[in-house]
Formats: sequence, C-alpha cells, structure tokens
Amino acid sequence: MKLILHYIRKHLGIFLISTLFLTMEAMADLFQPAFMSMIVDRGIRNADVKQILFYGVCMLGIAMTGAVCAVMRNRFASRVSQTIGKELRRDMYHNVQLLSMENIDRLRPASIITRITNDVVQVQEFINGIMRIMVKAPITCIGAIILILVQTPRQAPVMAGILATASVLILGNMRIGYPRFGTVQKKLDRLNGVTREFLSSVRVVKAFHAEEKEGEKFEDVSLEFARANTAALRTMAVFSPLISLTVNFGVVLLLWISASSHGTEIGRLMASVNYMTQVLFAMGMISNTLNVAVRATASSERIKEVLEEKPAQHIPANPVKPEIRGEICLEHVSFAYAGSGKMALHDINIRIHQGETIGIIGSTGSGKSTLVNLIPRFYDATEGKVWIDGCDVTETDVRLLRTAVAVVPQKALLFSGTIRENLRWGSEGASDEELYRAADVACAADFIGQSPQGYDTLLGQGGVNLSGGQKQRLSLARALVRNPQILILDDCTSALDAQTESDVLKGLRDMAGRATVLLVSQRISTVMRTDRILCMDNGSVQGYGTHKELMDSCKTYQEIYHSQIGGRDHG
Amino acid sequence: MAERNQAVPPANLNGISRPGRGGAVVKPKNMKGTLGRLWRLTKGHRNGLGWILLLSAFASLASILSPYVTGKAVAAIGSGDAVVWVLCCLAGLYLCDWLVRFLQAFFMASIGQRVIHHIRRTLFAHVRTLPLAFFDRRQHGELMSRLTNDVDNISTTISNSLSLLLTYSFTVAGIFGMMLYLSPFLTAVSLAGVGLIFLLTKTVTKHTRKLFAAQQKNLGALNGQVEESVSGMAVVKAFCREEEMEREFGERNDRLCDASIRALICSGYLMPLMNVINNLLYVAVSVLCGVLFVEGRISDIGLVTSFLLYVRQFTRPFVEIANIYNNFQTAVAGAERVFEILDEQPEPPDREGAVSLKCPRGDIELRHVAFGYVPGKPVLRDVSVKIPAGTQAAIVGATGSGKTTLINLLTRFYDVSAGSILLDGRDLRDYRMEDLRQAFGVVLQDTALFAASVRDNICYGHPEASMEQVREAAGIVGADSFIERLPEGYDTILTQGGMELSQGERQLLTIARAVFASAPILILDEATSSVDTVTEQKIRRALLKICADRTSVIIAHRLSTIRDSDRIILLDNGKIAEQGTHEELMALDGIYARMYRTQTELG
Repeated sequence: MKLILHYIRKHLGIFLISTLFLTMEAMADLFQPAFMSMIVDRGIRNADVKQILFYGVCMLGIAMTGAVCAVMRNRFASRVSQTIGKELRRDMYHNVQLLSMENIDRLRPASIITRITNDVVQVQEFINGIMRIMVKAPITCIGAIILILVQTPRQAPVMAGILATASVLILGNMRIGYPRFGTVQKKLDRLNGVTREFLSSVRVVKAFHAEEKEGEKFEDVSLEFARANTAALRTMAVFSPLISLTVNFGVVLLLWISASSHGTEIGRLMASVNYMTQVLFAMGMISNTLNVAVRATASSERIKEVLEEKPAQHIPANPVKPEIRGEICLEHVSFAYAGSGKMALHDINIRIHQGETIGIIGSTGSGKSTLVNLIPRFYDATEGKVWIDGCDVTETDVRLLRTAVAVVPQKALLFSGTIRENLRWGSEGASDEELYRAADVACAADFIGQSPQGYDTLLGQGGVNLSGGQKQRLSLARALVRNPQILILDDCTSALDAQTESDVLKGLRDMAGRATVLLVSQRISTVMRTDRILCMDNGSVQGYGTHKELMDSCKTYQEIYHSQIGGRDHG
Repeated sequence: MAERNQAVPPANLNGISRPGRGGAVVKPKNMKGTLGRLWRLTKGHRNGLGWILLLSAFASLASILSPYVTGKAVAAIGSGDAVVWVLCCLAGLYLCDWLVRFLQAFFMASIGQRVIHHIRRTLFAHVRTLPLAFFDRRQHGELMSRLTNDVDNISTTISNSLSLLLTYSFTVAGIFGMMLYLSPFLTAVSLAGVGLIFLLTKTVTKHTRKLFAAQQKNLGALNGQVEESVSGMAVVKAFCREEEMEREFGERNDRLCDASIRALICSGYLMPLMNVINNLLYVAVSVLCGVLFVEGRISDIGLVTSFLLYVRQFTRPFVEIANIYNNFQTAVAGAERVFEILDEQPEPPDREGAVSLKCPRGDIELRHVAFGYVPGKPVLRDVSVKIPAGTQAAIVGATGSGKTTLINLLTRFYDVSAGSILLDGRDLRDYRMEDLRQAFGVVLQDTALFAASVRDNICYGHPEASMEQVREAAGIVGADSFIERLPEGYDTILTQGGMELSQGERQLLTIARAVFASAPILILDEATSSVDTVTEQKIRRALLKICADRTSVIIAHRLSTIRDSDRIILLDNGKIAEQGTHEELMALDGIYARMYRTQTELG
C-alpha cells in the first residue's frame, strides 16, 4: 500500500483535482433528493406546477453539474491510474535492465514477466477503484447522514445505531474475508502451477502412462481451490445481506419515528429514505472492494520486490575505459552461485593471450559456462579477480567490455523481427555485406537464401519458426557481425551435425583473425584443434596446455579422450 | 428503497479483467448450442442450481414491492393514519429479502464452485487423454489460458450473470407491472426515458468497443515485448541492448497508456449521461404528476410517492441487463473455446479385442512404415527394420532425418500413416495402450521433472515404491552421489522443472526414472547428449547392465557412444540409408563412415 501511496503522491495535483470533482459529484448526488422532496412538498402537494418546474429545473441543473463533474473526475482519475500504471511498468522494467543475471536468476524471468504485466493491471484497477469507492463512499455516507439529520433531526439516535451496526458488520466482513481471499489467491497459484507443469511435461506423463495420477493431482488442487473460493464467498454471503438488512431496517425505523410525530413533510421523509439508500449503496461498495484490495496488496508486494531489488553487481563510479585487445587473466578466481553453498569455480588461475583460441572441456557441471560468464561480467567472481588487458573487469566500463566481447550462448535466443534486424544486434552500423559474410561463415546463408523473404524473413511471434540448428547458426552469425575482440562460443554448436560444425569452425578461424576465442565444448574433437585447451573438473582446472601436453600429463583429459575417441591412437 | 441494493457482483477473482461497460465483447459463435452444452455439464447439480435460480427470482420481490409499500406508508403518515401494519409489512418484506439474498449467496458459494470444479475436472480429464499431436500443435500459453482463464470466466460470469440476469429481468417486469397498475399514462412516459437510455448506451458502446479493442492490442504488444526481452535477458546484456529495449518498451508503454486513457474516458461518459436522463425522467414525471394533481385526476399522494420511487429504479436494471449480457456473451465465447478442446478427439480407444501385453519379449519389427505430421510432407517413408528381442539398436542421422519421429511411432505418441509396427509379432495397435506404454521405458530429450521430491520424481507413477527401490534405481545410473549431497537428500523438493539442478543432474534423474520403471524395452532419445562423456560412460555401463536382457533403442549424436550397438540404423531424409554393425558400416565406407570420421578424427 505504501508503494501505491508513493506513486499517488507523484500525481497528487491531478489526484486532488479528481478528488475535488468526485466530491462535487457526490454532493450533486446528495442534493438531488433534497430537490425531489421540494418537488413533492412544495409542488405536487400544493398542486403548484410552477414550483414543480422551478425545482425540476434546479434538479436537472444539479444533475448536469454532477454529470460534468463525473466526466471530469473520470478524465483525471483515468489519467492518474493509467499514468501510475505506466510509471510502475517503466520503473520496474528499468530496474530489471539494471539487474545482473544473479538477480534475474533469483526472481525468475517468468515471475518478473507476470509482475510487469498482470500485477500492474491489478494495482491500476485498484487505484481506479479507490478513487470511485474509497473516496466517494465515505463522502456519500457522511453527507447523507448530515442531510438526514438536517431534514429530520429526530433521527439522530437511529442513524447512530445503524451506522455503528453497519460499521461492525463491514469490519467483521474484512477481518474474516481478507485472509480467506488471501487463501484463494494462493490456491489459484497452485492450480496454475500444476496445469503449467502438466502441459510442459505431457510427453513424459504419457510415456509413463501417468495421466490418471496427474488427473488426480489436478483434481485435488482444483477441489482445494473450489473450497477456498466457497469459504471466501460465504463470508460475503453472510455479511452482505446483513448490511442491507441493517440499512433497510433503518428505513422502517425512520418511517416509524416520523409517523409517531406530526407535521412531517412527506417529501422530506422521501428524501431521507433516499439518503438511506445511498448510504446502503456506499457501504455495499466498501465491503465489495475486499477481494480487489486483497489482490492489489498481493500485487503491490510483488511489484515492490522487483523495484527494490538492488543490482547484485557493483557499478564503478569512474569506470576505466581501456582499449580492449583480448588478453584475459583470471587470478585466484572462485565463484559460487547465489543461494548455493557449493563453489562452482575454485581458485582458477589462467592467462589467455591475445588472439589465442582456447578450447574449454570438462564434464557437465565442471564450471565451463560459469567461467566464461565471468568475462563479460554476467556474474562477478566471489573471490579473486578477472583482468582484461590489465584492467579489473569490475572497474571497467560495462558497455565497453560487452561491446568487445561477443557471446554465443548454449541456448540460441532470437528476437521478434527480421533476420536482418536480429543480425544487426551484433553491430547497429554493420553493412549488408558484413551481415552476409557473417551468415556465410556461420553456415546460415544457405537456409536464409532458401526462404522466400531471405534476410527479411520475420522471426518469432507470428513469424517463421526455425529449427534448433538454424537458430544456433543465426545466433553465431549475430556474434560474428559484432567483430569482437573476444569471442565466446559456449557449446553453441550442439544442435549441428558434425559436418556442419566442422565447416563452421573452419570458417570461424579465418574470420576471427586476431580475436581471442574461447570455445567451450563437450566434444573432444572440437577442442582438440585449438591453440591450448583448458580441462576442467568439478570447478577446478585439471590441465591447461596443448592437446599433446594434456595427453601426457592430464588424467581427466585422457579419460575424456578415451571415452570419446576410444583406445585407438589418433594423435 | 431497495433501489440499488442488489449487491454488486463479486469482482472476478482471477485477474482477468472483466469487460466492463462497453468493454471488448467477444461474441459467441453459437450461443444456443453452447448454453445447451453448459447445461448438460451441470448434471448432478441441477437441483441446487434450480433452487438458486428460484431464489434469484424471489430476490427481485423486495425491489418490486417495497416502493409500493413505502408509498402507502408515506401516504398514511401524511394523512395521520395508523402505519403500524404497513410498517410491519415493510419490515417483513425486508426480512424476506434478507433471507432470500443470504440463502442465494450462500448456496451459490458452494454450488457454483462445485459446478466449476466439475467443469474443470471434466476438461482436464479430457485433456489428459488427448494425443500428443494436440499438444504439439498448440502453444502452452494458449492452452493454459483456456484451462484457467476461460474456465474461471465461465464460473464467475455465467453463474453470477445468470442469477443477476434473472433477478433483474424479474425486477424490470415486476416494476413495469406495478407502474402499469399505478398509472398506465405515466408508465408510457417512463418508457420514453428507457428508449433514450438505450440509444445512449448504443452510441457510447459503439465507440468504446473500438477503443477497448485498441487497448487490448497495445497491451498484447507490450506483454510480448516484456516476455521476449526478460526471458532473453542474457542475450540482451551480452549485446548491450538494454537501452534499445527500454526505448522500445517505453514507446509501447506510452501507446498503451494513451489507448487506455482514451478508452476509459469514452466509457466514462455513459454513467453520468444516464444519470442526467434519469433525472430528466424524474422531473418529467413529477411535472406530469403535479399537472394531474392540479387537474384532480390523481388524489393519492401515496401513488405519486410510489411511482416516483419506481421511476428512480426502473431504468437501472435495463443498463445492468445490457452490461451483464455483454459479460455473458464473453463468457459464453470462453465456454466455446473450452468446448473446442472437449471436442478434440482423444487418443483412439483400444481396438476391439485388444490384447493385454504382460511380459513382452521385445521383438520389434517395422514394416514399410511411412509417416508425416502434416499430410503431404512425409517425414518417414518406407522404413522397414527388425530389432530382435534383447538387442540394442542405435538410430543415427543428421538433424531432421526422422530419428525422434521413429520413437514417437514406437511409443504410439503418433500412429503410422502407412505400414505397421509389430511388437512380438503383433501390430502395436492391437495391444492395450496402457500395457504398451508400460512396456517402454523412455528417456526423452527434454528433461521434464515435476515439482515434487527427488524420490517421487524417480518413482514417478508408483508412489507406493519403497525407498530401497528408489535408491537402487538412483544407484544404477550413478545419481545417488549428487542426490545425497542435496540439502534434504531424496526428500529435496524440486521447484518448477528442477531448475536448481544442472542439466546433467536433471538428465540423470530422468534416466533413473526410466530405470525405476524397469520396462522390458528401453528407449533413449539423445538422453545423454547433455551429460559429459565421462558421466555418459558411467551411465552407459549401468544401462548396459540393465539392457543386457532387454531390447533397447538409442538415438545419439555422438557416434562414439553407440559404436557397440548390435545394429546401427542410419536414417537419411526419412529413409534407411545404411544399417548394420559399426564394423560393417565402416567397411561400407558410406555416410556413416564419413560422419564417424569427422567426429573422431583430428583435422
């Protein structure tokens, strides 16, 4: 809630103007019955058409004013709520861009997406709602009560009684209903979770013939959700009619008291009855905002988490801006992923010269990807330092660093847009010739040429779906367009068949020229031809040298070699 | 007095914005048919629903009668007559109203939810029998929204709308009747007001509908951008595209904000204008009342009071009905999407006289098998191959040569287009599906794990398994060592898809799961591609142990891993290009030999 208030404060001016119009709107609503009573008491009773017309025109005038106020209120309120929504989204998105991968891993991308999309909508609706309900309802309530007292002063005790009872009921409704609606929300999350899980692993479910078990699981969760819903709705079922009953009995009492005294004007009585109705409506609105409030609170908590997430990485105040040539040095580097006690890298000391091609091999989980992720600062070393051309990466300008380093990740990710646009990610100013050349080296030119639109083929949403191997080749071409000083290939040719892979690597060697290349792979045949090979196991360096050296000295390397090539001697 | 005291329907609980006044309305294609089907789904709850609908009708009683009684009371007070009886009547009316509303809401809370649970259960029970082709064809997000949003829409909207619709219809009819009874002439005047309101609503919604559709479109564009850029954050960072992404986001965000404001402002004209018309009507009726009073054609002040009270609430239900009807339409359109899924053909039922398959030997034979996912685009053509029981067959070939498709056919995820697959000499389709699937232990490319404990993931589908059996399966594939290092060992709960494990560890668990199932035939679809070669060797040794007396079919990229297979089948472009043992194929010096050399030889 604090968060919402904070954003409202930014638009306090418009918010107040809108509240002002709202107040006037509520007042107009309140004065209408007063004129109605005049029409009856002064006009109809005395059969005075002139009076009726006079008060009728007054009433219409007030109704018009009310309508104008309502329209204005709506204009301002919509502007405030939508602008706040926009700002919330913008601020969240901005903060997410600043976060490091460590933060993003922790918050989980899917969760961040729902927060930016769904949760903001919830908060927006709530803000729109509070203007209409939370502000208008009390004004109407209080105004109506004052007017009843003015019109028929002897109703004070009755009014007090009704108000007290209704307040108790509304409070009770909130006390009991709030946690129940909270439970509904939790059960809903679970239901969605189970559904999503089923859909994403349907192949396994079928292969293990576990459809029935999954069905039971789903039924259980669905039943729990239904029960939670029932419990929450029952709270409303009890309290809502009770509140109506209280106010309606107020009407009866009001008539009763008027009857026991003489000289009550019928019109005034009608007006009072009308006011009671307005009170009732206002109270009903308040108690009905309950679940909206629950949802908005939950949503604003989740939004706050994103907004308050501090980037895990230190951003240097005066970054060094060296000319990056491609010499890399890791000094006593250790690394552990946040929240995991296990060291993913352990005391790594290596030096990579400019222009060298280094193969990195090791078993799954040995830390190959983790190691290369430290170079463009996707993550920061827990201990030790990573130097590039003699500059500590944590003190280097991140933009400069990442412009000099091109990464081809394991999972090829492309974005909606044309193939050309995707390749231009590498370098905004790249000429078409450069794009074609990169695509050629990455063995992507063929399949691009085969598609009717060529480089203007649309990818992603509503566009063409590529195979895994095609995506990998485009992802590689995108990195090559960058013409980087350091090129990191993180096991990015896994979906290519051996022939294509070897073609790609051959072309790469010609094109990369003086760039430093880090080639992560699980295939020994891929790394064997590099200048030097870094062999890793369990987060530590097992060997670092040429194929020949490692075959002589490194046991882990020999093991990998024999497991893939077999006992025969090729080298 | 009962004016407006129909509770506002509880806002939708599940985060789908309800198309509000003039919001984007999706029209159902076949309203009548869909409603009929919905009605059929309520079987077993009809008594309860009947009661609720009956109560909904009664809920209009107070709205219809209380102005009349109030008018009487006011007239009595005005003339100084005794009011006790009239007031008792009014109090009784309110008590009835309370009881009806309470009962209606209370029953609705449980019966409505039960009906929805039933619909959801029916839907899921159907979805789980659908063939894989169905899931392959559709996007998860879209299916997800049908299973959750659309069903919830049915629940909140149809159950609420139906009873509200009923209540309001009765209210309108009742009030109309009362007004006619009080004064036919004044009623006719009031109808003119209703006509005006209809005209107004129509004009405004015509505009708002377009604006809300534009808002929806902008929202979709923004969400798409967020989804893409946040899930691809690593790439965005790698290419320093943060600023471009923010700029693009900012533009879409601005557009959405503008579109939303425009739609909201436009729809905001409706209620105030209606209020003005309402007041206009009130004044008109008052003036007429006054004139009639002067002319002496009305003498009862109570009648005037009652009529004016009726006029105040006559128009509102019309608007509400129009509104509810719009929501109703959207929900019915949602129901149609749900029914579309229910209409999907489930996996074909077992053939008549399908035999059970208890302990298959594991003889597999493919006879002239042809298959394509899309007609006219064959993936496999005329594949014939024999895999004798107890032997290991490896399928190799370039990406897209049809390896995985072959597995899909073996496990009957899909059925052959032509030809046949025989197991132990009988067509696969002659066996009961349940037995058939249990005969295969499958480890797939994607390492899908469930949000459950490690233990439950290993003994997936057999929760009654003993801890020893689970440990044994984990031990065979060498997963025990890492499992024991987990914080809670075998009881560690894996959150969504086991993302806290490394790819290799996830793969080991899926292999352990297949080992646990101890099926007579093992299928490994590139199961070891993301495990390093040393670990793969270990797994292979383990698998060799359990494969010893089983038929197994392996797909692998790395040819070194399948060199010892009894038979290697090389697929090329949907056809078998070469088959034989490693030595035979090397001697043949064909595609296989070339592939093998590129993978293992030094350049």
